Amino acid sequence: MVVFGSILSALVFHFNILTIGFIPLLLVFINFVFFAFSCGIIILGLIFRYGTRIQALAWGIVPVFQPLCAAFFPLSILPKPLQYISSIFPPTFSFEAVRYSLTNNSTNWHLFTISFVENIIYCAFAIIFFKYMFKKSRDSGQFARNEA
Amino acid sequence: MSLYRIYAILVQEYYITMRSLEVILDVFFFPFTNIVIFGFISLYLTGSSHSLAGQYILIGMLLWQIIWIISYSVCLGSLWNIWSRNLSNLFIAPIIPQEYIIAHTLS
Repeated sequence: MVVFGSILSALVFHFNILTIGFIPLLLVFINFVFFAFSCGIIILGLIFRYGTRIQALAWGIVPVFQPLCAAFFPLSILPKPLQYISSIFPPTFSFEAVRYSLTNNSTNWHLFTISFVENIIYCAFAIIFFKYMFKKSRDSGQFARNEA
Repeated sequence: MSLYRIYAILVQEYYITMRSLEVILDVFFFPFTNIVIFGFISLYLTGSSHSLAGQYILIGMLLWQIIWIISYSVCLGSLWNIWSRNLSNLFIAPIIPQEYIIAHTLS
C-alpha cells in the first residue's frame, strides 16, 4: 500500500519518495516496523489481559503518537515540554532524519542510531510485557472469558 | 516453533483479509484516501511560499501509514479471532504465542 501511495504521489503530486535516498528510506522503514510491532504487541497484551472492553485502544492509541512523534512538522514547532516527551519515542528521530535527508540529501546516521537503539529497547520491553500479560491472562481465566 | 504453523496462520489471515470488506477498507482504502488528501494539501502548500512544508507533510503521511498499518494489523488480526470466538480454538492446536505473534507480524 505504501509503495502504491508513493507511486501515486510521484505521478500525481510530483513528489518522488526516493528523493530522500534509498538507504534512509530502508532505515526508516525498518525503524517503523519495529516501533509499530512493539506498539501493537503491547496493546494486544493489554487486550488479552483486560478483555475486549478496551478493544478500542487497538485503533485509538496509535494516532496519539502522530502529533507526538512530529510526523508532519519539524520537532522545533512543538512546545518545549512536549519535545521532551516526544524524544522518548523512536519515530520522532526517524521523522527528523527523513526531513534532514530531504533538505540536505545525505543520511543522518546520528539520528538513525538513536532511533534504532530506542527501538530495540521498546521491542524487548514489548515482548516481555506481552509474555507477562499472556501468562497473567491465562492464570486469571480472562483468556477464556475474552470470548464470552 | 515451526514454520508450518506460522504458514497456517498466514493463510488464515489471508482468507480473512480477502473476504472482509472492513479489513480491506481499513488497510487499503483509508490510507489511500489519506494519501490523496494530503497529496493535494501538499500540492497547495508547495505553490505557496513554504515550498518545503508541503513535502514534509506528504512524506510524513506516507511514512505514517507504515506505522499505522502494521500496528493495526497486529492488533486487529487477533481481535477478529476474538470476535468470531475462534481464539481458544486456535490455541487448542499445539501453537505457542511466539509463533502466533510472528505470523501476525508478517501478515
